[in-house]
Amino acid sequence: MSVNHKDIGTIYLYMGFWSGLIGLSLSHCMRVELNHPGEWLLGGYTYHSIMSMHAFMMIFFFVMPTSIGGLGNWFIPLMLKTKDLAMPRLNNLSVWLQLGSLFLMMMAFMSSGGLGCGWTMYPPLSSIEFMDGIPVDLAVFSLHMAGMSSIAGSINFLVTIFNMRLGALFFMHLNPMLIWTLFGTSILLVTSVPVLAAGLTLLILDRHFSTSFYYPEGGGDPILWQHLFWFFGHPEVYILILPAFGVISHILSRSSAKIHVFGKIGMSWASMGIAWMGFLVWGHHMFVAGLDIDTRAYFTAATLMIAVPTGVKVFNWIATIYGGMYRLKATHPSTFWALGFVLLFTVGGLTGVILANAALSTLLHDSYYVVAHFHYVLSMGAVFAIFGGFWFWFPFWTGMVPRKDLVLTHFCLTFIGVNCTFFPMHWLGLTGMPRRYQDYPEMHTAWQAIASAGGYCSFLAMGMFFATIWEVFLVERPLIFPFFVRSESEYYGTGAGEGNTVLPCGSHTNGQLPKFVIFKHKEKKPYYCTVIM
Amino acid sequence: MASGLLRVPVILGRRTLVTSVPRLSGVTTTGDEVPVVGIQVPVTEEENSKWLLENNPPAPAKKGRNAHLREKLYTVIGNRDIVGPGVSGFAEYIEAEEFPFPAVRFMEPYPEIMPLLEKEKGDWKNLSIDEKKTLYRYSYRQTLKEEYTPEGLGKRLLIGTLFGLSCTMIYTQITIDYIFPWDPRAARTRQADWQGVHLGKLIAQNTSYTPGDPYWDYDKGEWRK
Repeated sequence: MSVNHKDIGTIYLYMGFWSGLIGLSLSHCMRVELNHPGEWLLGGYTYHSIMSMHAFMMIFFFVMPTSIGGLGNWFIPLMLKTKDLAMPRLNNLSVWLQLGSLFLMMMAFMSSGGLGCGWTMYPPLSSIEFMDGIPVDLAVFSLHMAGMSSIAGSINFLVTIFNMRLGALFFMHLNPMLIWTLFGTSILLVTSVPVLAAGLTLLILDRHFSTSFYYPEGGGDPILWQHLFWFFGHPEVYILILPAFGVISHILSRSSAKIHVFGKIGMSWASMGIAWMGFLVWGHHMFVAGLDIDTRAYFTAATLMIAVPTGVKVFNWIATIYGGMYRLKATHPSTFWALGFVLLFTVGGLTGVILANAALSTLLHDSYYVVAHFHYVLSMGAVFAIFGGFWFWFPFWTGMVPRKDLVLTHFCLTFIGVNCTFFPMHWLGLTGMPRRYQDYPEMHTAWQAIASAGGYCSFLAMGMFFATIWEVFLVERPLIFPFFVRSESEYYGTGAGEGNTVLPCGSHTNGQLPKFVIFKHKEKKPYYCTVIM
Repeated sequence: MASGLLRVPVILGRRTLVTSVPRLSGVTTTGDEVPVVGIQVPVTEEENSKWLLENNPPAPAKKGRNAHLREKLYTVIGNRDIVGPGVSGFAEYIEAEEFPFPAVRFMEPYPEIMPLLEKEKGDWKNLSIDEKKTLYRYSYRQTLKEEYTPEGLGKRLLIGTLFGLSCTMIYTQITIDYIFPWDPRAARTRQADWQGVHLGKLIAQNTSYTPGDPYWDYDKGEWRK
């Protein structure tokens, strides 16, 4: 088993996309069921099992492996101009743990009817009293393993970023945006995943060892689980989206022909600010759990504050786009994904601001409005960034160029599909459709049918994605000059980043550390570049 | 894979014997080899050609991942002149609106162009239109007008998108016709009398969350006008 960061990154990408397909198929099952009122296709428990597994697969086995494991493993050493990560064998362990976690989760899905308690696994529903089969236990152990994998990988990333950077100088200036966001993501993972592990362990103890951490009869409190879970759960959503922020910065700066994203240092601070503030707002998932009014007021204010650094990032992206020349013929396909991200993530963020208010959230909690919000920021945020990054760096990985019209067709169908699916959910939520319900009153049929049609469109768009990949490997259109593959990492005085190689990227790069030279301008500001001696 | 350093024998303007050429920024790829600055040695074309044949690096291995691609990419710019720094100092031919002057010429030198290149060094007024066009095509692949000319990408995009949407609609209709067990539009709860009774219940329960129903006048027992 290879310890090469590129091979491990490739494994993460394969695993992530495979899991994403499973999650997409599960969502397709749900949309077929929800197209029509009544419980007609899936049994109640089966529907909830599919819904829970859809969430687990998308969050823990698609977005995280692809964006953090895949892109992080590939580009952290390359952009830092180092040979590999700090601990390659630990990297290998991470990917094996992730694969084991995936196996356990699939077993949880396929045993005893599946896991029907939602990805949040609130007790008492997830307790032994109401779910006495093995799916919950398998899911808990799967999350334990995934957590170990994430923690190990994050430690690896942090050590690499701190210790193996070129020159070890000017930390604030030298790192590309993807490095910054993965740095923030790694900090979030290292600090929040142990809390999830603690909560999961208490759940296992309650289920099998007669403890009562979550039982009021024994002095416990089910709200404890909610606190523990969401103390992890909210940083988790920033873990999902921060790498996407980095990818978008790279793509937009390249497509606008800028050396880096507008306000680069501000973007770094904003990323770190979002990461830090993500720890302070977990209570906005618990507005109806019986929190004190002052507590709710605090979480409302803190959640609204996160909109500030997020707005900084969005405005900086828009400023990056300004001045760029965008023509359909000349624009790289990944740019469309990035522009779609900026637009749709902003829409999702706006609905998040609405949900941040405790008063409104009391009405909209567990409604389709929440489903619309998080699908806009994830299904149109993280997933668009993953696809954009995939096509942006595809020539770097393979040395081949896809057909532009096929990639753009995939984009258009996905854009139309996800918007048709999730925009009506805003109205569904506002008119009272609760989430995680298999059946609904006929008054919601129209919007549910439109949402299902959008789901079918997204499903077919994935077919277009695979057709594009099939075509590129069939034709093998080589990339001659890696102009569009290089992004900001090379302009920053660190010399060439990920793109300064003959493509496709070889297995071993940066074998020799370059000499790092600092020149001084006459104004005595340092100007640094890389010189190979 | 083959060595990351792209050792390309390049004629730098005047005939120059070059042993191994770094990229213009002086950055190598693997860092395993040290670039050597080009040595100005007056040689004839024949000697240079002979040297190029003798000293070209060996062909890359046939095995390995993407070996066929590496063969194609091994000598990318061939004998093309390097005429500028290009984008970030890399010797590549790029047509981009933001970076209008590529680092290398589009074509490799061929015997018929050599007299024109000499003539180009003089007064350009002495060049005919065709000669100017030939020199332009020697340096660039497309004119700006050709670069801006649409290639029908939008049409292909529209075709693909409409095709995908059509497939979606067909799939949706198939599910409605053959899969769903009953038509929701025929549900009892969607008929007017049922919905009327239901609305009456909602009004009786005063379910509106605003103080007083904005549409139902509870005092008069009728809809507000």
